[in-house]
Amino acid sequence: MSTDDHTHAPSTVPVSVVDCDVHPVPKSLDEFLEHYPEPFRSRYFAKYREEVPMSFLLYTPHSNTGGNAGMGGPGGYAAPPNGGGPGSDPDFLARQLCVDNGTDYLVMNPLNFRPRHWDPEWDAAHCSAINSWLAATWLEGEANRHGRFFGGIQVSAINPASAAIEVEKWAEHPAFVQSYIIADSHVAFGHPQYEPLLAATAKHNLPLGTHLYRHAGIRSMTPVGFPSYHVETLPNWIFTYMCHVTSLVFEGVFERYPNLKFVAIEGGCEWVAPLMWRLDRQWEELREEVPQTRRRPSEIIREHMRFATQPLCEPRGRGDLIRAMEWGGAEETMVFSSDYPHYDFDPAKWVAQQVPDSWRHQLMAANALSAYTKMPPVRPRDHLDDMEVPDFRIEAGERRDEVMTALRAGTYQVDNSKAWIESID
Amino acid sequence: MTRSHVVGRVEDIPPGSSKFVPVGKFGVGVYNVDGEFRAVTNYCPHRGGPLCVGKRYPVIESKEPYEFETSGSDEILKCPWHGWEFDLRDGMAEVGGKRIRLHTVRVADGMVVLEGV
Repeated sequence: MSTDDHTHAPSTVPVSVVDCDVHPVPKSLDEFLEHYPEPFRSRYFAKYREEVPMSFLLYTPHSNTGGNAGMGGPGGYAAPPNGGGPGSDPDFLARQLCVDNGTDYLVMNPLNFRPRHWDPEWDAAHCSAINSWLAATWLEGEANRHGRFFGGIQVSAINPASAAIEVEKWAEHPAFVQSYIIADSHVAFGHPQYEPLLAATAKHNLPLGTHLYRHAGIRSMTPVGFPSYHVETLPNWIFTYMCHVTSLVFEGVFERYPNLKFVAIEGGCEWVAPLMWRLDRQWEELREEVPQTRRRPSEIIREHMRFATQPLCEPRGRGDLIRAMEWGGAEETMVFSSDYPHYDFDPAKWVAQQVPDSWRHQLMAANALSAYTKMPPVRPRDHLDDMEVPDFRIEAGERRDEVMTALRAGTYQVDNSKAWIESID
Repeated sequence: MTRSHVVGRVEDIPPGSSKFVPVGKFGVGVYNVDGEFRAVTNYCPHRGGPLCVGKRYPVIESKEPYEFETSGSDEILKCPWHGWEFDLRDGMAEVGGKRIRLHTVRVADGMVVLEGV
């Protein structure tokens, strides 16, 4: 773009792509621990502290076959050129998503080394540390000078009283746009124990976003027990969401909190339609049991729920996918998510191409904006809008080539010894 | 219009290594697979990812659970997005029937030359 064009460019940009799932990580364990409350910092991060983030791997037979090896590692697609793990450099992340993928807004959902789900006090402290870290390093100051970054207020799924306190602490922050809870709870989210969290979330007109988390083995119970492999766990995640959706509908949560929205992230969206049909049928037959649920489940879901697309399935006929999404109320219920920087990342441009013109804007932006009411539908023009870059593939290929050449020559200078170790999906 | 590009000296791209050439719309990765060269468009046929950023792996075969054999060299190129795997020898995807675009690459006077990009 020439200087002349820039002079006449409008000063605001209508929001056309909202990415509801991006995973930032700290540059190092030290960066995160600065925000960690005592006594937990001393108790857990004095000796053997490097092993704590890895502990989830010890509990789970997670695949080591390298699903995300090309995203991270030296020269990986999402590996910041100046070092650090994928998702650790705010400017590089903004460049890949906002410039290369044309995304306007990003919702940051940290997954900083798995919930402490056996210890409610530690879990609450861990959430508190994540929010303080996210605000300081991503949502405020230089990192968010463009205002594209928003975040979830991470709250404990096993300590709802602390969750409500955490929501109160951050709800007025302009960049925190949802309460954010890990989906691996001990009971379903409609259970009365979540009342303090639901009340605080609704009071501030925030949605409740949730993200899946568990890996194979004893941390990932399904209705029939425990899966052996990671490749089993991921498709089985939809059952976690089916149970939460069912619970929220039949516990009458949205009758009590008519402004509340629920956003299910990382579970995909193609399973929503058959669940809605079945909930409707059972409600028609058995609704005396749940008088608090006064409307048809499918109506409640269409009004109050959002399902983030990633991982978007690829049945052989694209028409089949579109029909399945439309049956699930896509034009109202579905929102785009990329899951960057994980290997199963869905690029925005690709997702936008899959869906029909008639509800593309709903999926890519409008349905998210109506749930995340703190996000302005128009944003100021910023430096990312004016960045002109060649095809990102060429740049990524050259970056990788330089790193490989330096590694072979023994001149590779980037120190990644302190890079954050995070799960891959 | 297409042209020839000198990628480098044969001895600078030993077996298992590769060279990225920033030509064409997406760039081309030139791979040495057991002494033979393959040139791959840096565009994954699955979702358009930067395929040549991917890492290489041996072929892994299993006759029964918990027993597997790996080939001696890294014939497989795995896309950084979604991990789709392609056999550099014939360009075929390991699953799904898709094929990567291979360009002509030849060796002349000790130089690796990429054609037709």
